[in-house]
Amino acid sequence: MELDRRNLLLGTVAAIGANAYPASLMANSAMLPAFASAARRNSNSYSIVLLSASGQLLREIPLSARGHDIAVHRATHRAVAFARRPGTFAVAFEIDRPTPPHIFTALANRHFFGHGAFSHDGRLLYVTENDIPAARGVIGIYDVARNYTKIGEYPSYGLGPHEIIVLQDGRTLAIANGGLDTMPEAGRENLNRDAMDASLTFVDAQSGALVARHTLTSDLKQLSLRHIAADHQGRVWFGGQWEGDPGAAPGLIGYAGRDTRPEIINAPIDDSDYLKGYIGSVAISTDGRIFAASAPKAGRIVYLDTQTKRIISESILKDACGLAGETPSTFAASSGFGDLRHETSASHVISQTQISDIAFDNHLRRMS
Amino acid sequence: MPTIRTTRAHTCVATVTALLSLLSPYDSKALAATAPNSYALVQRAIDGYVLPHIEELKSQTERLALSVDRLCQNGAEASREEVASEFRKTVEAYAGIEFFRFGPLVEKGRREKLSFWPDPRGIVPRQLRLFMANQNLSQMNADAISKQSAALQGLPALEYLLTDNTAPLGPDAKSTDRCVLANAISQNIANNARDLEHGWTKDGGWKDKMLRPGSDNDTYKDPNESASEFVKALLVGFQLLADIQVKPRFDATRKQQGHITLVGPYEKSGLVKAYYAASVASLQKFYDTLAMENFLPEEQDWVKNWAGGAWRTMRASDGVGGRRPEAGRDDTPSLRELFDKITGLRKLVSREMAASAGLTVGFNELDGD
Repeated sequence: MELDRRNLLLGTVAAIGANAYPASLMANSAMLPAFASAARRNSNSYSIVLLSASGQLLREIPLSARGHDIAVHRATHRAVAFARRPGTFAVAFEIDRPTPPHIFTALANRHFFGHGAFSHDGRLLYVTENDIPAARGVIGIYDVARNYTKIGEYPSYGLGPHEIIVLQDGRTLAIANGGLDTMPEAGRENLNRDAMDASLTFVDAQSGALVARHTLTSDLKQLSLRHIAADHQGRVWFGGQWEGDPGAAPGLIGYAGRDTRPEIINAPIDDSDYLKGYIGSVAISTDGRIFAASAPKAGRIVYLDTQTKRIISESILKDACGLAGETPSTFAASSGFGDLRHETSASHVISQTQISDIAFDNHLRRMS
Repeated sequence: MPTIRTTRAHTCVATVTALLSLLSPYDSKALAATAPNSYALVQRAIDGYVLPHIEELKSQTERLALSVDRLCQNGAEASREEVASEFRKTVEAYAGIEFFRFGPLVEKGRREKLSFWPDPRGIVPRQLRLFMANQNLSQMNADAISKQSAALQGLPALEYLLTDNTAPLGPDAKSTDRCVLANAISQNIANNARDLEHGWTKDGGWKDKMLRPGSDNDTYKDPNESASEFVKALLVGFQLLADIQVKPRFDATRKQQGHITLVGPYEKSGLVKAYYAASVASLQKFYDTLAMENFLPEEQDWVKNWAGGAWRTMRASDGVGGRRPEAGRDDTPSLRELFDKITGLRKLVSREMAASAGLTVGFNELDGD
């Protein structure tokens, strides 16, 4: 793999060790990646790893710091990985060719939250960002054809925007505003835990106008909405992180529509510790009917029927986090211990692979 | 080069998990080491570190509240010095427990109520100014202040009042309202410290919860989970030290670009170095209490050696770029080196010591987003 001068100057792509592109893996480069995830090596290095469906490591894009999620545009074979909150770099790369990645960074007084989404036509990239001085969430708009030049931004209509998705209509953005204030100078400390203001907002992608904004009831004030996925009916399902008393964690999963208030789905057992207060990622089946959520602290993945709104099964995987829908009834899941598992929404394991020396980070994305 | 192991099991999750656990590199380390007694580790951590330090915080906050009251009554210079001394000791005591980001410290937002820091947006001074300007303070007491914003309740709010030279605390009429507020805040701090201790020691409290894991325990199902909680606390302590005490001081790029900068902990009182030193001393004591180096196999002596060097570096620094006189090193570690040593030690604890102890903490479980 080559590094261009810009990459070196930015310092975002770390020096590439001999293991980053072993010859045996280059031989597989003709194989298109099925999944991608941010990862950490035991050697303390961070990267984006591209995997075959069976879990074979096909390519690796080194990073200088921990990554988070990857926005994917399958039609144009483009993907962008983001630094995790409160990082400031993003790495664009081609899915099907090992060309040098392109680096872009947040502008002054902005940081990323680790997530972004392409417009349906692939021309624009929407990125969740923090307007640090004003402590307000914004959606950065980047022109893909102009090397991801930032061409504008909209308000996210909330604080601490995390995951953003483009809904099926192609013109509505759904944004999970976590409600937490962070800034690079304070590391990963949440600065406003006692004054959180989480929301789920719907924003017109063309005008930036607010379409709808849903907040949670006062008893759920400390539920930080983080990760979202849309079902086949256009409802947005979310997974949250509880910042309140650990013993009082409510249901962390719920849904809302543009015109319908958020509704929380309670755990199947009356145990506030069932998901240990933290959903790490969510995914939807390819037909939009099954919603999956991972709870790494509980080592648990739950599957939920979006029509009955009931949890239909759960599986156990230590440090499970990344999730991706593969078919109407199967999902891929990754873990911090290097596991890549394929299982049905009934929690039957189809296959499982473990890659030593790799810890998969929060999110797993299907690339093909 | 990574190795890939694949199993197929169409029907049984347990089978797959069991097979993989047999093959896990983490488990091979565990087999090579002395089998840890998680229960003993938890008991050691609670009795040898947590409870004594929380007791120290509780006692210290009570002494601080008394000293504030005395200063407000007599305004004597000796009382002012006493308050400054008690405040410093309280801040140092807090540094010893701030990394227990679970249980009673996070219940009811106690951490923020005790110490609303970091505060890069200056919420404490802004809210305090507004509060003093708009509230009738004559009836203020600890109970009333406990219902206000966390930013008004804790040590940084008290620090603001103690260091505001425009109206020094004392019996003068112009300081009456401020003294009422300072007494309310200091008593509220003591109340929170008392509640913190109670949360650990009461029947069915956090001590019981951690020492009695099981299927009927809503938080810890087995002793390894309780023990892992303490490993996580240590890792959080390293992260806090590196990321918000050390890094902002050498990451000058953002400052040059006009970004908001983070004021050090209790900087108005001149306690940044004291806070750093207390943090390092506390973390080392907790590290020694956990005694996780004991789980390392012989061939990993290099880990102990590296850790020893990291601790020397941490002790040799004053946390702001200078050297501490009691340092065990002749030179002054740079802040960059200090940061790298702290983060390196964090990784060694997480990936080598914890793994050898069979207390692996998941990458996402520890610090997901």
